[in-house]
Amino acid sequence: MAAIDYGKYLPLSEATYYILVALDEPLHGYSIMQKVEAISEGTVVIGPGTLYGAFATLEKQGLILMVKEEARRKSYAMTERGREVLAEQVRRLRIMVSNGNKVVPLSTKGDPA
Amino acid sequence: MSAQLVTKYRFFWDDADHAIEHWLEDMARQGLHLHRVSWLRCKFTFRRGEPAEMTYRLDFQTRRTSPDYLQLFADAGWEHVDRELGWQYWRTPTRAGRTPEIFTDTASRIRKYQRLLWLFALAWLPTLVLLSIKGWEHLATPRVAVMTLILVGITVYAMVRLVLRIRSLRNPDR
Repeated sequence: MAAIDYGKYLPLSEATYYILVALDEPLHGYSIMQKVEAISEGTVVIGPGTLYGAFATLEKQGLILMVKEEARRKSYAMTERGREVLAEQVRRLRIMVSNGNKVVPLSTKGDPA
Repeated sequence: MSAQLVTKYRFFWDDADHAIEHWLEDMARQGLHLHRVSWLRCKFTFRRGEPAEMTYRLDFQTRRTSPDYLQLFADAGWEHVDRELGWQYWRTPTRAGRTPEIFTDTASRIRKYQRLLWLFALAWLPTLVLLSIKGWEHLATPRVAVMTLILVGITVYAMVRLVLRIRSLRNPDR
């Protein structure tokens, strides 16, 4: 497979990033919304309009795939390409965080001591 | 008494969906709950009931809404009230704390208006093609020319409003 042109996909929006993370396992829309809110500790909430649009975009980009349609609910899974794009995003985020940490040291409460 | 229906006529430009939402929420506070939207989305029929704090949100879909679209919103707690000309009217009870939203980021909010812009542009395509094949002299009669000019004017005005709305979403401070 040809090398991925990451510039086409990155940076992922906060919503897109979390949708891909949630789709580590196949899930349908509402489960994704619940999972994202839970794992992001309530910092990211995805509305159904935003999610529905993201499904169409991500499917067209080949980053996710519809795997099941049951009781009017479509389930999606991350594709191989989706996983590679996510991995590259995580790599870039790690660099961003380490640079940010040099300037603003990580504190447990989120406010400077 | 049987359920009372109240009819109101309102015209909103396509970029003013947030104005419709506020208006429908005001109506709900007075006990008037949206029941049907018809007549090119200008006729609103309400059902009289108990006053309630509701959140109304509008989506725009160019294609016929699919079952999974409707199910996704229903799962998230939204009630589909009606549809008219591609506009989808959603509502949910307002809970204390956070305002429920169907669009949770600016990008998806903007994409809704972009779909409308495309539709406006595409709607004129057949006319333009026809005129370029048959010749522009078909516009020669004053009546046709004036009618066309008015329609073009309205379309362009509606599109400019949408573009300005998109710009204000991109730069909220301005």
